[in-house]
Amino acid sequence: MIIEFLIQLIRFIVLVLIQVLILNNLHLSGIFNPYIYPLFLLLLPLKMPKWVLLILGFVTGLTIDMFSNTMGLHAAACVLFCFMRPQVLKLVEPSGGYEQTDKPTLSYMGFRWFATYASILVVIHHLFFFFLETLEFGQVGFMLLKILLSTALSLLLIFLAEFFFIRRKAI
Amino acid sequence: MRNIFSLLVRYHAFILFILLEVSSIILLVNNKSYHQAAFINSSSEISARVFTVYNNFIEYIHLSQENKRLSDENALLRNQLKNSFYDASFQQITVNDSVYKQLYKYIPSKVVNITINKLNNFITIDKGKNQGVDIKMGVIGPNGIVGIVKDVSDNYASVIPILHNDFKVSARVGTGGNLGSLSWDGSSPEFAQLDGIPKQIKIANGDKIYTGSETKKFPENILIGTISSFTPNTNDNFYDIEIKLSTDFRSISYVYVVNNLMKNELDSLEQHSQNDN
Repeated sequence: MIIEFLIQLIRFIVLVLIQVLILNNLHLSGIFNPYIYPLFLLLLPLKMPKWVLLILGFVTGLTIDMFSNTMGLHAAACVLFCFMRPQVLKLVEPSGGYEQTDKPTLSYMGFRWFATYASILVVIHHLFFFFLETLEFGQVGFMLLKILLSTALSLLLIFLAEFFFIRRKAI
Repeated sequence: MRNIFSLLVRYHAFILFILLEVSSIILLVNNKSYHQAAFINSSSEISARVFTVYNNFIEYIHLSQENKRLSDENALLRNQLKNSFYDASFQQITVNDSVYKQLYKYIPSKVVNITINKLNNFITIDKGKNQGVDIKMGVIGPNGIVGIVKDVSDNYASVIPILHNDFKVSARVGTGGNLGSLSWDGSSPEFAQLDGIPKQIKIANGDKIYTGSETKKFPENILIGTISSFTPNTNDNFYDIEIKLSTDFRSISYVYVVNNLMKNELDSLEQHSQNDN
């Protein structure tokens, strides 16, 4: 139990640092804004109570906001993300239901399951995030391109991170 | 009563969701206003400290480049010193100079964090209230203007750069030309837009753009950039001008906060005359 908690805490710190120190400073172009920190929320235990999930989402979002000067923007997207997570989990539930030992990771549930699960939630997160961000500027064409490219890049990073963890487990 | 409780228990997740979502949006909307003392932003001590530690690492990589830039700037400043000019006048008159009084003071500071690829970008610098930085002060870099201070904490400040939706400054073409208003459309960190230059004025690509005289935040005639392209607007009487910014936001690492020593006097005077009307 304590070990599980520590793993989650370390994952949170590592992902937040990668996000705010490396990805936020990736000056590729205005249209590539990948976000890897949703991976923390994706990998939280399956049976987590909804209210804990929502509060964790809010705290995660605020932490990222604090570092990127976007008060409330990430928090809003993360809260929606966490609200939708149980629904999406129900949607992609295997025919036999979840086992007691299952974890929502690539190594436990396989690539197809994880890809569907992660894609749906990351798309929801990015759509809402960029929608809120664009409300202040209003360049719709630019926004669609941004959502498309950033979502693709975020998902790629999330999958790569997960593959990395699989290999480490096999050794 | 029991019904209300059972309803609360049943829909607790949804109610919490609405509560958290609404508080996020309130934070988001409140943060847009210019003066709001935001209680969490990158000038808050924790995040600024993390950025400082990280920055100290990264700085070593760019150390030689930075030395070069600083020594270039030193050379430039040295060239402007009085004692680097040859006195060509025949007669020497010694004047006890009480005519000039210092108007601007510069506080050198280091950039600890910067974003440039967002729609609203921010810079965090490592000087704050304790070092004399205050909100609404101008910030300039070695090559031109950078932005305006938005929030200060004890040892850090966050700056709204030109690359921000709320940033506006009056600018003029050449040192004596017409005044216009500079803003940013969010597309490229290298270019900004100048509005309000009448069509009958003759301008050319490469013309230099300087800060205007009536802004109290910046000294007059600080370089902003050069005209890279312009088209007459068909709807009104002004040009649409694209400005290539002289400050390279991708590589900026040292800036100066401009402290206008007479700003309080100016402000209270203007306040006074407004109240009289």
